[in-house]
Amino acid sequence: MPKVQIQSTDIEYAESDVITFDEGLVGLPHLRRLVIVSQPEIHPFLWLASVEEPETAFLVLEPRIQFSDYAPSVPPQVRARLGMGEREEPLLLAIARITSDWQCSSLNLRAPLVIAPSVMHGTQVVLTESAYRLEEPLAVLAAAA
Amino acid sequence: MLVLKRQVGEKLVIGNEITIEVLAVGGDGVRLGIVAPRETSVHRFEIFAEIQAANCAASHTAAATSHAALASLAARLRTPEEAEEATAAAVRQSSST
Repeated sequence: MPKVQIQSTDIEYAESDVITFDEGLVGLPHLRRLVIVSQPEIHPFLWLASVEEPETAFLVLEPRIQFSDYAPSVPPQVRARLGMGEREEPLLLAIARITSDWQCSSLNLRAPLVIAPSVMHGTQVVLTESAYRLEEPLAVLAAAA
Repeated sequence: MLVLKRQVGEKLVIGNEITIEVLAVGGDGVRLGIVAPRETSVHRFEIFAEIQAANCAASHTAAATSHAALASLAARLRTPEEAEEATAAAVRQSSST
């Protein structure tokens, strides 16, 4: 099985799990093929790793895990661009930004990744007309469970 | 940089498919109408730059954070039930390797 390298660890992935971002991510047009990989010890975070560029990966989180009422409207042209079915629900992922002081870690709710699971196509949508923030603080428990 | 002069109501075309029309000019502002293929995103530059910087920073900080620190942060985001499950999964993983 092919592998991605994250934090000096090789992690196997299936080719069928690769998501194609036709435009890359915003400002990073070379990141066009990314794969979601999980590691039990970092759950609920997931890695979204480049299959082409070693050691290039984002920590992502399903935003509703932290913000249960998060419901950005996905513009119809984005749905069309991704080839989404009429009733298909997109998978939403938000990119986490980890700081050395954990209390200040944040999620990017302004520019979520919108993925059509049926065709494994994704895009990063910039929500300009909403109040969602670029650096929404993560609600971190004071003590580890 | 290419510099062109246009009147209100006139257009530019970029490549074969992107047209930009000057809709109105007033004060310090210009109103533009843009027609582009649906696979082409159009952003205000400031917002594009802001998201780009956030993406780069997120990628760098994820790489720079130690795995132990990440695991510890992740544990603080889990509900007690999830934490139990994660512990069980970690045990299963370590016993299988």
